[in-house]
Amino acid sequence: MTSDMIIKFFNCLKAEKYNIYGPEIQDDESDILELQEVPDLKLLEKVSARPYKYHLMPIREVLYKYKDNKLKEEFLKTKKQAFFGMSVFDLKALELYDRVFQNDVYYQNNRKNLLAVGYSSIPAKNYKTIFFTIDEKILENIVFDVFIEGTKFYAQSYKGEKILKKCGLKYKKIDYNPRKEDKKVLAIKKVVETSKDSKLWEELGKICLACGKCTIACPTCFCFDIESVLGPEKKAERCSGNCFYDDFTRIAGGHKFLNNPKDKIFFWYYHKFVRIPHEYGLPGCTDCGRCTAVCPVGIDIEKNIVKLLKEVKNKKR
Amino acid sequence: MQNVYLPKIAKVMDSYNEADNSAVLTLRMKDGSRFNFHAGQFAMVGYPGWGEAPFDICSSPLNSKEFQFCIRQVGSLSEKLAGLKKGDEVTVRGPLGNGFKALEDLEPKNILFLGGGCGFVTVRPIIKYIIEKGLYKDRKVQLLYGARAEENILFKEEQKEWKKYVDVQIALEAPPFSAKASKGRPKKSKYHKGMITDLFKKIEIVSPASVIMCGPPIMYRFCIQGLGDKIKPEATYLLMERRMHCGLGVCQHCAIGPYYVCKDGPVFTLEMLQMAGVQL
Repeated sequence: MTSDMIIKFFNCLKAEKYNIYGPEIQDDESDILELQEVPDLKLLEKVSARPYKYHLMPIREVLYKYKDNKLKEEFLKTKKQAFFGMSVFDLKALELYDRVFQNDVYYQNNRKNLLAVGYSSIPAKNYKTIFFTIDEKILENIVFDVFIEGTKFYAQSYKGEKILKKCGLKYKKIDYNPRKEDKKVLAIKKVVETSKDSKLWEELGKICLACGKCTIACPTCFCFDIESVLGPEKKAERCSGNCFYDDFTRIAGGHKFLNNPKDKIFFWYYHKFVRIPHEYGLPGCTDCGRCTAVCPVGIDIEKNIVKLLKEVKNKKR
Repeated sequence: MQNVYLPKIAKVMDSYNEADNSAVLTLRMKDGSRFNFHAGQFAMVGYPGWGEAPFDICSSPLNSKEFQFCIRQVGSLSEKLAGLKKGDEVTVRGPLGNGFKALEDLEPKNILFLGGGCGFVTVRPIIKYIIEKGLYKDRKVQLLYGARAEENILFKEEQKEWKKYVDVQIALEAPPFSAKASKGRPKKSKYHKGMITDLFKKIEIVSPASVIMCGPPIMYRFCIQGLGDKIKPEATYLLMERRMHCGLGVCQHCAIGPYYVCKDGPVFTLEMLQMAGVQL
């Protein structure tokens, strides 16, 4: 029954000329690829190994070109695309991107053509995480166009309603109503903010390889470089950055401000758990588990935060 | 929606060599628009195909028609920019950062500059503003500048003019050898020997004063230690340097603690940095 409805919706999106992206196995892991047919339910039920973000903010994109003594903006000619089967965690990440890049013409150019389709086989309120509050209001606290919860369809945007109507599917309208203050987010922010002297960073610094796999797998990591390309065409490109790589903080003359894995991983956690909540009021980590899954030395973000929370609790005693 | 990443094209009106392997570029916007900025602000200056990087604006904020950057040659882009001639074109994105919005309102009124290295560039627009606005009339302004040797002193010629209004004291790690010294009486040097911090003992330091530091972080650390009680964290302004890409507080390269140097800085009070636990 479930799959019939999903198949119907998927085929309808295809008929509406959407380029559909979703989980598919490639090289033994679930990547986000362009789909020709509805993905296996088993794949939809799990969080994919790779994030959706690169189809919204490409690894490289041209910002402008310099030609005939003039600068010319370049925009990707994006077709209508649908992200099919985004988890609650992926949608929480999308909400953050929308906030971070709200004044970014390049992001908005890609975003306006996106239909975000969430999926959850269990009631969304039943997900558990220490990083942000999930309760019966969760569908108001994330952004999506269409959300499929088991057999039920929900729409949040006009775009979502329109496509569901067109596909002849019954749905319930949910308005986006972001949580003003998330106590879980604030509690973790407070703990990480004052944790600089914790032994945890020492321990992580010893094992972290600074390989940067975590930031590549992370659905919220958005830092970028602006690079110029010299060649037949003079152009500036935005490409995804990585705060674990040595050139991230290197300035002319060679000085670096992050010099070892300990400082780098602290910088990364501080970004996720302090700077992002401070600036955007949202969690910088959505607990999707991708970074933990890809880490070659088994660094577990959730365990580490639990550790810090415990440290503070013990100190208070 | 405005494209925040798209620079404007500026024309090079003039270029001359400065000390320390630097060049001063005078620019004017190609479209004739004004470039309004505060002292202490910076801009992303670039050359098509070679990239862009943050450079401190070093001219007077009272002239928005033409503006200057002092570019020290330390990488491929700065070498390219420093080699440009009148009529060449560059890209400019900015002004960016906070800068000093109201130098007249600084409290305490007196101003003590501590400058060193290439960070010293930012002292120039502030001094120019102070002189052109006549702020020196109702306050003492003192500039302590530490450099390696005489040939590293930036804006040496201009400093003759500054000295009419500002007490300029320069400490050199390697002062020039005095030719007359061997014939008996040594010639009195224009410079002090030693580091900038040695000046704290040798001369009378203006106090109470708002302190503005432009230089490398290591200098900040020693100056804060050396000045002791004369430092009021809420009236001590530090200019921070970091790698930058967007200049808008998004790309994360320039983050220090909870701040972005590009957006919340580059001017920070010592109080702000201390409260956030930022180590210098």
